[in-house]
Amino acid sequence: MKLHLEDIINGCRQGHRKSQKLLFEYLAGGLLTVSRQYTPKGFDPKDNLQDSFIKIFDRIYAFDMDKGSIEAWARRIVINTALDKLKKRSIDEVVLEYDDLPLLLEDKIEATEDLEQLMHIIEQLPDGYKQVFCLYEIEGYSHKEIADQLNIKEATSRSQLNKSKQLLRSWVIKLELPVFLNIQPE
Amino acid sequence: MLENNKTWKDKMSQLKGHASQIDLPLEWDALESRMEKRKRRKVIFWLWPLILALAIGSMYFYSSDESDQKNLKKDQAEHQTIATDKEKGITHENGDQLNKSNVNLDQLQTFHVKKEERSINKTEESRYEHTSFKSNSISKSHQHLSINTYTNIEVEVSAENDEKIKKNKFSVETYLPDFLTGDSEESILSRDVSPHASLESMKALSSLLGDVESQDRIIPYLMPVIVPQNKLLPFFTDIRMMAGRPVYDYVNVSLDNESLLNTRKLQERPLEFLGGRWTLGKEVGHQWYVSLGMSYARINDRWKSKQLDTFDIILNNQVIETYTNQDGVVTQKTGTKQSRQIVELTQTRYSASEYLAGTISLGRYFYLYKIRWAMEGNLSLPVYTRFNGEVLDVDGQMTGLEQIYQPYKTLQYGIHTSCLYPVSGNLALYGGYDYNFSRLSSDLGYLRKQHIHSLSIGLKYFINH
Repeated sequence: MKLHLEDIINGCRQGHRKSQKLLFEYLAGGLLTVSRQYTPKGFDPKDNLQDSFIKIFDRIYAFDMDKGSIEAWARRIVINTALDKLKKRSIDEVVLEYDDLPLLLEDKIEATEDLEQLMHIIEQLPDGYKQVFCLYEIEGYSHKEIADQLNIKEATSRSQLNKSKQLLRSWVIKLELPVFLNIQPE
Repeated sequence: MLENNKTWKDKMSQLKGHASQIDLPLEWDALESRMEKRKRRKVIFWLWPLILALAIGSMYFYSSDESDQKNLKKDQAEHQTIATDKEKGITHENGDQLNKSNVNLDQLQTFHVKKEERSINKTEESRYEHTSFKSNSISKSHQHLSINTYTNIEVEVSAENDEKIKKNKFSVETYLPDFLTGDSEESILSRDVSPHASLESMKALSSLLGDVESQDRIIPYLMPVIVPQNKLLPFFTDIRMMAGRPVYDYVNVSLDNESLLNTRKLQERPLEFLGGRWTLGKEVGHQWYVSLGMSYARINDRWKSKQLDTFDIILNNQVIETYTNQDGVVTQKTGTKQSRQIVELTQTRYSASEYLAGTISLGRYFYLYKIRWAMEGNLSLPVYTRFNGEVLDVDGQMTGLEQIYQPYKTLQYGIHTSCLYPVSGNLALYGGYDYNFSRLSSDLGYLRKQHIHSLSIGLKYFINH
């Protein structure tokens, strides 16, 4: 599989459309999850995914297989593309806080598996909270690294993480999803 | 709690590997169409400069053709005048030399060039620039000669007995005055000859004419079209000042510091570019020149960052408690109060990069709408670089620019186009547009591409013009 993936990557480096399609098919599902986690409100995660793939194909010449996996490298590009969109927004557009359960969430959450339910809930978090939450909890970054990436203070990162967890917890309780009740603020 | 925490962490790691459902063919089609559009846009982006270059090129050739035709008419008129003037001084001499060839010498009139030589040469030198690429050079032992191609008259010279010219048949395109061209069929200018104009034949003619000239300083009337080619090409010195605005573009080489790169994209803004250069050059061919020299460039930029910060302030004499005592008197207790304020901190820093570089240029002059233009490409390699100012490094600390950028790992190249205004025979002023591009490498895994658009003014002094 590794050799096969290498061939695909080499094909992409040479600009072969078929290789690009294969790489897209290989990575698209996982990267769409990432895109959903980080894309700010008002932008379509699928558009962000397409933007990211264009960057991936443009920059694949710089990718070094010895330094890491293609998945991690592509994941980083998707996150950065989404964060760039967040940074371009004016501060007025960012909703800082809301406690009410977002509309439609209740409908979405039904009849889906656990992880998809959690994804739906995370997607509904306000911009700022969502990115901090995902960078900390999923990617495992420290608050300092998050502060650098989002151009905020470390204290802000901490407080946003706490608030996002509180919000998630309140929604989980309202939605009666006991599997997530153990979300604890730091 | 620990167990709960473990479950939570498991969920999060599962989420990291979770693949969302996606309609792959549909999304791929959308992506592919976007990539195709982007590719087309790229082609269109490069198409415009290409069209522009072609348009300028074709206009140049069109205008040079036009000016050639005008010059041709002017020169013909001049030569007719010269010819008419010289008719009076024509003497018939040394027919023997030309009898060797099968030429009707009665109609081939010769004249002394001693007296008129200077004036003829002067006229021909003035024609030098616009006729040279229509001429054929003939090598002789002591000078280069060429024959112009103004009027299309074929000449046949058949030399049966001459050792030097052994039965040569050739056609020569040359300029002759009317009294020679308007003659009868028996003229030497017989028109039904083979159309071959080989170099050997030209040499033969040259040799014949050279003999005539060397013996008695007499040349046939064909000689006014012989132009000296050994004119020295001038040296020049060029001083140029430039001012403009750069555009930065950042490219990451590795993903290690991509967040830093994003911050830099947002916060670093180029301000202005000031530059100058001095070169010494030489014309190397028809309208081409090369020059070598030094260039100086200074790019100023601004670092402006904004971030929200909190700070605590202590307020004295504030009401901290209000109570009603046993007598029913409302009493206020005062003291110090701590308050937290959110402020937006703006930090502005100015930095500059200075480069001293060795420069080599290759350029060409051309005429457009009767104005002389120059277009050149140049290549510079920095020999001295200085950075002033600080930026944030990966640890969020302010660091000197010189510790971040690699000063000598950059190659600058650009194009220059300008319009020349002649002030005197040796001096020309010019104004134009310059575009320069360079890549500044950094130790933090990214490149800063610098596109510099600038207007330039300068002067060119021609040393042996």
